[in-house]
Formats: sequence, C-alpha cells, structure tokens
Amino acid sequence: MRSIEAFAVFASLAYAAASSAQTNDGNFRGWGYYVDATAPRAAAMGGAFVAVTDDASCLAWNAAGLTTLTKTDLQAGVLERGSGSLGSGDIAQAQSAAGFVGGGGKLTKTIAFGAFLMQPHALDIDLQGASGTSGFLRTTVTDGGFALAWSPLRALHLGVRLNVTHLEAQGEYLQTASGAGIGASQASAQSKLTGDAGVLLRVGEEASLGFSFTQGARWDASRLSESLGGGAVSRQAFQISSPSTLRGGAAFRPAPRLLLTAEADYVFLARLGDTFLPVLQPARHGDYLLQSGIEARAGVEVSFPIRSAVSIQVRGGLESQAPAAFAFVGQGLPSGGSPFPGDPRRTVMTVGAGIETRAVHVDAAAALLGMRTVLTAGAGVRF
Amino acid sequence: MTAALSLMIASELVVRSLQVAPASLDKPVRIEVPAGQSTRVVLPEAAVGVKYSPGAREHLGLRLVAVRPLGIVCFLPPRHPSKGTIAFRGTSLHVVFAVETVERGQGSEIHLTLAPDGPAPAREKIPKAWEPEPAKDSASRPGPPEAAQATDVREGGASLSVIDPVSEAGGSGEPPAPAEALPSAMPLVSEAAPLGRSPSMDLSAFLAAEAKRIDRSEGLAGQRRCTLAYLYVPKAQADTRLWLKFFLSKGGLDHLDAVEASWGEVGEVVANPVDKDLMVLLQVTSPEIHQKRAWVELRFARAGRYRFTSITSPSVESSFKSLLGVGH
Repeated sequence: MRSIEAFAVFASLAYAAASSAQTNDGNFRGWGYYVDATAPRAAAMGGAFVAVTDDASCLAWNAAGLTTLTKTDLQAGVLERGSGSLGSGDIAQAQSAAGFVGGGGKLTKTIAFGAFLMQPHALDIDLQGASGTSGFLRTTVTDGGFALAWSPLRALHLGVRLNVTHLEAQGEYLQTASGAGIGASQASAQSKLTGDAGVLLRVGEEASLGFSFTQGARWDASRLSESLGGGAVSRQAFQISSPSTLRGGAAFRPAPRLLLTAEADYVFLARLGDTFLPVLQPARHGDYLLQSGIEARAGVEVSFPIRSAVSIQVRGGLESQAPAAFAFVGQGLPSGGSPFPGDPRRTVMTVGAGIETRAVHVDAAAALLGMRTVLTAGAGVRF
Repeated sequence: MTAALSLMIASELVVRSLQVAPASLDKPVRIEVPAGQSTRVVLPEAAVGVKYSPGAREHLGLRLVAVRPLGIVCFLPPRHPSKGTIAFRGTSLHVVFAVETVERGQGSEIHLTLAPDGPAPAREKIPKAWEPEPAKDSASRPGPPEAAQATDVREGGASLSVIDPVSEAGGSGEPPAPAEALPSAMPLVSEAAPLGRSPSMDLSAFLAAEAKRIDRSEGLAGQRRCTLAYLYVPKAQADTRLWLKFFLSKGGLDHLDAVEASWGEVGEVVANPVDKDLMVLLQVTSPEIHQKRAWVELRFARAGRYRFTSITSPSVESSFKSLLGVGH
C-alpha cells in the first residue's frame, strides 16, 4: 500500500526540472517513439508525402504544400491502432484516437494558412514475460498548431509550422524477482512548442520535390522509486524525448491518373540517447544504444475518374521503419533491471482507397506487417 | 459558313475581289485602307493562325471579326499615315498582308481569292510565319521594316496571336507567369475545336480589357486540371462584358464540346491549343456571372466536365463566399 501511495505522489511532480531522457526502468525496455501517419491518404502511400501537393494533410509533413492548395481543404479522421508485439516481447495494446484533423487554404494568391490537431504517437505497453516483473507504460503525444506558407515564385513554396506538442505519460514498473524488489513510476503531462519548416519545389505540373525539418521535443517527467523492502522513496527528474526528422522526397505524376511518391527521412533517434538516464545501477550511459536511422518510403496512387462526377483512388506503399527502441549493450544488467533488446527494422506495407467528388473526399488506409496494424479513415471537404 | 455569310450580307461595304496567284504568296499582299473607314478582308478559308506587327492593332484599328468558316479581319485606321503587316495562316495557305493607310477613300470588303493558275501550296510546305524567324530572314523580307512580333496573349492587353499548337516548347500545364516570354504567334481556332460560335465574340474589346490573374483550378483526381487563369474586365464601366480564359492542362489535342452556365448556354467561345494545353476563352456578362450560385461548366470530349462556381482567386474568404453562393 505504501508503494501505491508513493506512486500517487509523483503525479504532482509532472513539471519537475529536466535532467535526462528516458530511464532504464523495465517498463521502457520496449518503448520507442513510434510515429503513425494520421491522415489516411498519406498513410496509404507509405507516408511518402513530403512532396505531395494540393492536400491539406501536408500540414503533418511539409507545411510548404499549403500554397499548392487549389481550394480550401478541411479534413477530419479517426485512427485505430491495433495490438502488437514489441521487440521486448511486451504487448502494445490496441488504441483508438482521432486522426488528422485540420485544414488549410489560401489567404492571398501567395500566402496560405493551415491549422491541425493530430496524435502521431500513442503507445500503451503491458509488460510481459518473466514472473516477478510487471508494469505498464502509456505515452500519448498530441500535436496541434498552425502553419503559414508563402510562395514567392510559382515553383517555390516555403512553409513554417508552429506546433504545440503535448505528452501524456504514465508508467509503473515492479521488479520483485531479485532481492527486496523495487517499484518505480513515471509520469509526465507537459506541452512544448516546436517549430518546423519546409520547402517545396514544383518542377512543371507533373513533379515536385519536398524537404522539411520537424523538430523533436523533450518533455519533463518525474520518477518516483522505492525499495519494496521498505527503503526510502526517491524522486528523480528525467525527460522523455521525440526525435527530430529531416525529410526529403519527390512526387511525380507521369499521367493524370498516376501519382508516384518517394521519400527518405533521417530520424535523429540518437538524440534520445544523449540524455538517457540509467536510474537502475550499476549501468553506464553508453550501455543503452539507439542510433539515428534512415526511413525509406514509397507510394503510388491510381485514380479512376468516372463521368467527371466521382473519382475512385487506389493506393499502396512501403515503408522501412528505423529501429526506435534502445538496446542494452552493456556487460551485465543493473540490479532490478530488465533487458533492453532493441527493435528490429521493420518493413510496413500500406494500402488504401478513396473516393472523391468535386467537394467531398473520403479515404481509408491500413498499415500492415509493422509492429501493429494501424487503420485510418477520414473525410474532407474542398470548396 | 452561315455566320460569315450573315456578316457579309449585313455589311454595307463595297465588295471587291483580290485575286492572288498562289505562287506569289511568298510575298506580302499590299492592301491600302482609308483612314477613318472600315475595310474588311475576307480570306478564302478559315484562319488558324494570325500574327501582326507591333502597333498594327492600334495604328490600323485591327479587329478580328471571324476565324471560321472564313477568316475575316477588319481595319479601321484612326489616322493616316499608318502601316503594318498581318500574317494569316489558313488551313491550306499562308498569306501576309502589307497594310498601309491612305488619307482618303471608301471602306470596302476585300475578298481574297486564289487565281486558278496553280494549286495552293501543300500545307506542310507552307512557311510557318507564326514561328519566330531568324534575323537574316526578317531583314531580307519585303514589306514594312518592322519585324512581325506578337505581344503576350495572356496578360494585360493581349494580342490576337496565340501559340503554335505544334510547338513542343512549353506545355507547362498551367498558365505561364506574366513575365514569361511567349512564342510570337498561335492559331486562333484549332481545326480540332469544333466551335463555330467565335465570330460573335468581340475580340477587339477583349484585347483592350484589363487582365486579372485568377488561377482557380478544377478537376477530380485522375482528371486533367482545368484552370481559370484570367478574368478580363473592360476598362469602360458601362461595358458589362467579361472574358474568362481557361486552360486545360495537356489538353491541346482535346475538343471543347460544350460550354454551359447556370443562366444557359454560353455562345461566345473560342478554343485554341496553346502549347500542349487547350485554351478556352468565354465572353460572358457581369450580371450573368455574378448571379447567386452562378456557375460555368466546360465539357471536353476526352477530359470530361469541369464546373467553376467562382471566378475569383481561390482563398479561404472566396471559398466560404462560394459555399454560400455569394460574392463571385
């Protein structure tokens, strides 16, 4: 009971001073900053969307695309994350959430505005495996903000995005298998402001090149731990981080009915390791490794306009996801610690479809073969 | 033919015939037009391309009356002396007129006919006068010293000239920026565009109108994009006519089948290939287009239908106004 009371205390410590990134508590052993495409059209095309034009969901990838909108575009969707297995063997629980909600339009011929709300990351981990170890970790990141884009030339589009990114995190880890056992809990509820920027170059009407930088965030969190044998309660501050991402890609429309996209993202995952906090000892900072990685994406969209009234679209894509979870590379596990096995590179296949009229479009997508299946659906109006 | 015949019948001008040997068409045909009088020149066939020298439109009072089934151009020179050249590319012939004003005289209608002593040159052998000529050719060409140059058709005071449809240059799929250089001339009506209604369009008023860039695009996913590129507004406030210029991206080989509007059919239409695009020019009136929930729909043979519910530049403000059916 005493430990439960202690766990309740840390909720008031959400805004403790920052000192370091995630901890080596066992409930972080499979955790990674997994990001899902929240807009169905982008999700269906493997997330290769940084160079795609005339779609308000570009707000999630490259705000510069706003000035390519031919109409005001408002979208809203839902997201269903299925259950899945992490590299640690722990289970990610199924979750439902709102998908991409946002829209944009031109204020003048060369300036466009957009606003958005989305939940790019959500992970609800239940620890599995060895007896004597239990716990959970829930992290949810909600992004919201607005963007401005400017097109100084017909072929050049520039965009900036201000993003208020909010983390809700709660975790608990109990290790009773060794010695007196330990209990640790973590919590965070904090918003941070980040800035993103993007460039889009149109090469004729058929092709475009897109580049963007999405800034990561570090949220302050607190950890409360105690020895289950009656030891003192200790409080520590740490940080939970999301990586910055540099994106570059191209979109090419060889025929009106066919759109091909490709994108390479450099994800600064190593940044998360800079402030990794090995709270369980003995352990060194360098014992936990996470390297930055490249994520390759490709997508295709085929459209079938019918009698100039309706257009049916079929989409597909592939995505190579960089390992996002820390791996323990030290000599021996710390006392009360769990192995951090790391995360394999995953190839995700995406499929989707859409139907649009002159003013309304409805889209759906599924991301398959990844850590878990992610379904997205949404609708929008263009006017 | 009916439209052109009706124009001729309605004309009270003295009709004259100008017979030219096909073999002599490589030289300019000299025409004198009296200042302050209307002189109408009727070609023996449809005009698919036209090009005139700088200032000819203003100095000679040039106005294109019809392009199909016969090309008809009218001169009303405001003052003497003035001169210029105008080159027609017909469906089978090419002829350059060297036009000079005379101080006195009576207006007339000149019917150009080909002398029967030789066949008209085959089309593929006709020199493409609408293409920019090398400097040395321009220097050696007879006629007025000024080189025939057209001004920008798509911006401001547009000329009658448009781009050669067989040109491989351009083809951007969207209207070029106003500052872009354009080829010197283009045909006025595509042979592929089955629209015979253009004679009723007042092109001279259109040419004098002020251009406003719109850039409003329509088209479903998978359709070619059709863009309302420009709105032309007459400078005279009493003139309620407006001209809408559209471009169907990569639609140069397409056909405009029909144009409809919420108030009925739009009769004043010109359709021309421009680069790889198809340009469509509509003449409407301000009261029509500014009706609540007014729309214009273009129907192309291959690309399908495109409905425009607003003639303003796309913006959040105009989007909501369009949604509410106000503020076109």
